[in-house]
Amino acid sequence: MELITVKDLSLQNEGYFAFKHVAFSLAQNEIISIVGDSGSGKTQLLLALSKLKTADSGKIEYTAGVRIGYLPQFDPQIINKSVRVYLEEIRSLSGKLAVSKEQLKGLIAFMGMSPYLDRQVRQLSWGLKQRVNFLAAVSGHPNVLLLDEPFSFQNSSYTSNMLDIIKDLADNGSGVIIASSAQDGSMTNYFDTNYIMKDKTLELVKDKDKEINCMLIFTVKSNSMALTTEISKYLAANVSSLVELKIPLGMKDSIIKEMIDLNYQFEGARILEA
Amino acid sequence: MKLRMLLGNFINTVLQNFLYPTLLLSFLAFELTMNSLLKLNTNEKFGFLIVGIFLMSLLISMNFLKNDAYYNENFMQKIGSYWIYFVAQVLTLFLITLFSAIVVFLFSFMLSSDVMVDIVAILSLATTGFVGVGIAFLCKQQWNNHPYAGQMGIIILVYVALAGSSIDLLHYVSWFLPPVSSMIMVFQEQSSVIDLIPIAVQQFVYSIVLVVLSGTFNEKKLSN
Repeated sequence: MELITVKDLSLQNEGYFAFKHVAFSLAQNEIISIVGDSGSGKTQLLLALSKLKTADSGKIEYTAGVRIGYLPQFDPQIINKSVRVYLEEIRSLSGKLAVSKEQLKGLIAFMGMSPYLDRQVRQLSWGLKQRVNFLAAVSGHPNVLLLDEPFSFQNSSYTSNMLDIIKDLADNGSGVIIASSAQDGSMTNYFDTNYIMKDKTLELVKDKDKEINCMLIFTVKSNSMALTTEISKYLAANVSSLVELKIPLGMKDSIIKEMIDLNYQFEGARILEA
Repeated sequence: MKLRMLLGNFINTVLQNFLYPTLLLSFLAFELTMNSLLKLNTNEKFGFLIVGIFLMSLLISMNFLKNDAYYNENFMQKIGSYWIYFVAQVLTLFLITLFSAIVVFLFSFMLSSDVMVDIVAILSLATTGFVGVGIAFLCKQQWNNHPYAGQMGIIILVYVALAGSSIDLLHYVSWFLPPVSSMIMVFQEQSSVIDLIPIAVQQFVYSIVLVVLSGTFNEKKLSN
């Protein structure tokens, strides 16, 4: 059963398209992944889906009874309550439909938050806050879960635990949309449908096993060092002081960091056709 | 539960950057010294309190709505009901304004032996503050999509609120203007606090109309 159907949705922010002509649908038991570069419009699309922004044209149809859980990329809210009190309050907002107290306790332990239960949320690090916000989003047992960069600041162990919780929710009838700027190859198996946000619009990735690549462009400076063997294998072009690397999207950040360490000037990145 | 959670959060938002306590204490300090500094009579003193509480509640409401637009960006989605969220915002600011009116009046040394007069004076101050809250709500788009329209709205409304009844041209549309200056004029003409009851009621209705207009214009449909 379709939970959300999006038809030709467009949104402009001060004259610039945040996204345009977006069309897709989210069904029960489905996990959708949306990958796109920073500024491609993923966050704005999730804000529109979570009803925090109104699109300029197009339509979003919600099936009756849909309850949305939303994890923002960055939540500026200052929460002076302890993790225990805050999560319990958020859980109780959904009443009987929320996960039970025992289940929430289990989720807290699973996400490694038990030692921080009596700490104020505002005192936590970004990574821990992200986990608290993730738990807050799932504690209401929503049937549509919208996650914006949920894996930022998380190690592989907690990323894997998050994915297990997401999978469990989807298996129990929820639909999930995960937006991220990079995607690890190991996550692909969790997703039913993959989209790529490119040129401000959403494109379906037909072969989901095919890796999404990205082209990084650097200029050579006078003090640039030779490329390492590890990086050389991704070299796509090296013409007149311009170096282009074709890399899997998941490696984007680490390669940029490594190239900057080698004194190359980063010029830009673009996602390649899947 | 939702309302309790919202009220707790909003009171924290009001207090978080100390603007409210700072303004209130400055107001009280000035009140305590103005007798010897300005040697005002009761009429002038009450006029000063009216203007002071109007500006104070306007500034506190603007500060609250600005902080709310930034810090509580995603909070409304968790609550899942626009109107509960909105009512809690209004209730928080009305309660804070009422508290300010009581404190400001107590420190004005204008207490009378007749409790009824004191209550009417406090309510007159409170409803003047409510008008400030209503204006801030009406122009809250200045922190969202229409920054210039919101700011211009505040400037115009504050001007007509404070100077409206002294501009002859606006006499025919006086029912349309924030009745703050009328409150001062009525008190100066009648010199009786009890005579302020109709204007206090008018101010309360006016502020509710502004708040309802703001709530309706900015409505977000969070539930299906």
